[in-house]
Amino acid sequence: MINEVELMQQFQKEFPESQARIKRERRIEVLLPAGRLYEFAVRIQKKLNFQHLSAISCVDWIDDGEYELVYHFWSYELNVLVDAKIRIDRENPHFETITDLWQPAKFFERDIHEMFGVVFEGNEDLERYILTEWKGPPPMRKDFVSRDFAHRFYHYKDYEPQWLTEMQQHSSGGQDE
Amino acid sequence: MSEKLTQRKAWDIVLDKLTKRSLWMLHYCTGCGAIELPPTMTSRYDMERFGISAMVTPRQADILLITGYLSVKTLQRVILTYEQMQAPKYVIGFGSCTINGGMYWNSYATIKSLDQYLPVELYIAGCMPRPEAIISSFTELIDRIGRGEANSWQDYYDNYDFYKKNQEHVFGEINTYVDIKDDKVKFGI
Amino acid sequence: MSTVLWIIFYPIIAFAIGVILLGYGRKFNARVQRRYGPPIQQVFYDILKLMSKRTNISHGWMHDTALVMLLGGTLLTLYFIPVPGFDFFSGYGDFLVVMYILLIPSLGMALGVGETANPNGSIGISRALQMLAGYDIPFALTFIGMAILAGTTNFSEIIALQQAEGIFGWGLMTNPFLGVAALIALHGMMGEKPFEVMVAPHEIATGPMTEMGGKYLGMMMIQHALNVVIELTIYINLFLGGAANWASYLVKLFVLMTLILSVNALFGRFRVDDAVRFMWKVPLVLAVIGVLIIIL
Repeated sequence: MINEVELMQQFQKEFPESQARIKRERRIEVLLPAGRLYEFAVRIQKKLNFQHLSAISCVDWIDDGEYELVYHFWSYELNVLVDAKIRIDRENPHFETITDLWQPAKFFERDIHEMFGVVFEGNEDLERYILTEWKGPPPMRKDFVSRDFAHRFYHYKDYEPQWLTEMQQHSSGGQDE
Repeated sequence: MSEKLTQRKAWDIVLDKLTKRSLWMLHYCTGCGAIELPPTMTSRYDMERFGISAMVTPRQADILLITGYLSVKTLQRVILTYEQMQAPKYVIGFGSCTINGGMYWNSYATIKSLDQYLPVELYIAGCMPRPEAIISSFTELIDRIGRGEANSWQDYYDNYDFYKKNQEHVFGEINTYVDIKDDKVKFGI
Repeated sequence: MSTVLWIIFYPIIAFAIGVILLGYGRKFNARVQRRYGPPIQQVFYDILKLMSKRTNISHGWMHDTALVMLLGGTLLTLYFIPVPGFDFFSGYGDFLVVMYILLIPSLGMALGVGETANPNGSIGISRALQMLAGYDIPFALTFIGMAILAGTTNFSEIIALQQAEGIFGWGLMTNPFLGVAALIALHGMMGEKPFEVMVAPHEIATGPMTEMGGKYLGMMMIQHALNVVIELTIYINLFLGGAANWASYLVKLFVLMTLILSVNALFGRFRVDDAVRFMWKVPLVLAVIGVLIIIL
């Protein structure tokens, strides 16, 4: 725990407006304003030697109207994972890229662009690579209901057996999810 | 799709009884159900004693096993592979994902009902079926070929417009380099 | 008259023996792996199924012609090798002619596979021709050694010489170095593991047979069955004393096949450069020692 406490004190000294928290052993969470993330990434890679960008993930806070981008950094020497979280606007989401610091960030950003619709400025190649024939909205957003889309677009077989209708009549009529 | 009832000539009856003893399966693992294929091929549930062995190119294979779910991206490649196989060829839908969606029934990226896109001969229920179920379906297929009822491959040539319309609805136009209508006339199917 | 009947029916008899030998191979392989395996006539069902396919994918006239060349070359070789009761043509062509004609099927297949424009096929064929350069040199040396020993290159005379002295007149007994070298080279020629790099199913999608399906593959399997009979018969005629009657011929065929299959069932596959290097080290050295013993 010595490493984590030292790291947290260092973050709080250099980025005073961030909120750093030790979640448990080997996990630190840092909430940053959106403008400071690039500086944080540079600092954490060059000075603290966090060599491994594990992933970039995105969380859809539909009630707040925001996306939360989470950058996961791992250090081989200290064995600590640092999650840097920022919030960006949901209606017109765009952010800067960190591809010049870590090259694999290109694919994470491409994935988030395909699934959530976030435009990363500076990343030239944001083409779809997972759902190559997709014509609908970005599918991981919470206002995209997958079941309705699937029932509209794909063809199902008709399947109405007697025992299922009887069960649905006798039950209290819950959702068939 | 309706089965085509044809009057079999005597030579066809003999030939069906002999060619049903040697069917070659394409070793193309399209989904997660393919994990049950190696136990079926190896010593315990030996599949080779029925004459069925695994081949690696579609030109040499007779059976195409669609093992599990098919995303739209894989469906393009499966159609390309299917049209490269030589008739008579049999598609077996493996697992409940090919029947009506299975575990991924409300997913936006997998297809739900396989026989809209390819003519299916048999379905195997299960998620996933054990090797005993796979072997019983192979023996069922062998019996159907012996009786002369396994003619669903002709359906692709007859109703090609129906299949093509469904395929294009899902993933747009692709070029498979095989002219089905031309082949139908050339080989008299 | 009986010669004409032989000429017509001998390929069919050789084909039947070849099919049974290949089926025996699959059964043996399966039993070694502790499972039941297909019935012995399984290869016949395979060939029948392949020839009765309804559609055909042709890659041009060169592709079709090359396959005819493949089967034609093998049939031609079949006639020049004596079996008990039929050595009509061996007076017209000795085994130098046989060695020459044995190259025609490989060249035919190379032309046909090159026409399909599939990279897997080209890799497979280049490996097959490399292996040919590997095993042909020790094989040719053993032929030359036996010719010097017997003083003739005619098959029937070599057989007669061996049969004159009973079991101790066999080529394997009078010159064991040549016999063993030829056995290893035969193993490579038949394409059994560990020299199976030409086919290599899961590496390069069966190599030359990638684009062949239906009737083309059926013809290739017929050629494979005849090839097995030809190569085993060459070895039996040179080193195992020929065969006086059909019973001893069949026994010798199956014993030799079992020996080769026993190695096949246990080994993995050599890489092509390892295989060629092996062929130029072990059988070549044995053959050279054998020839030197004969000359000196």
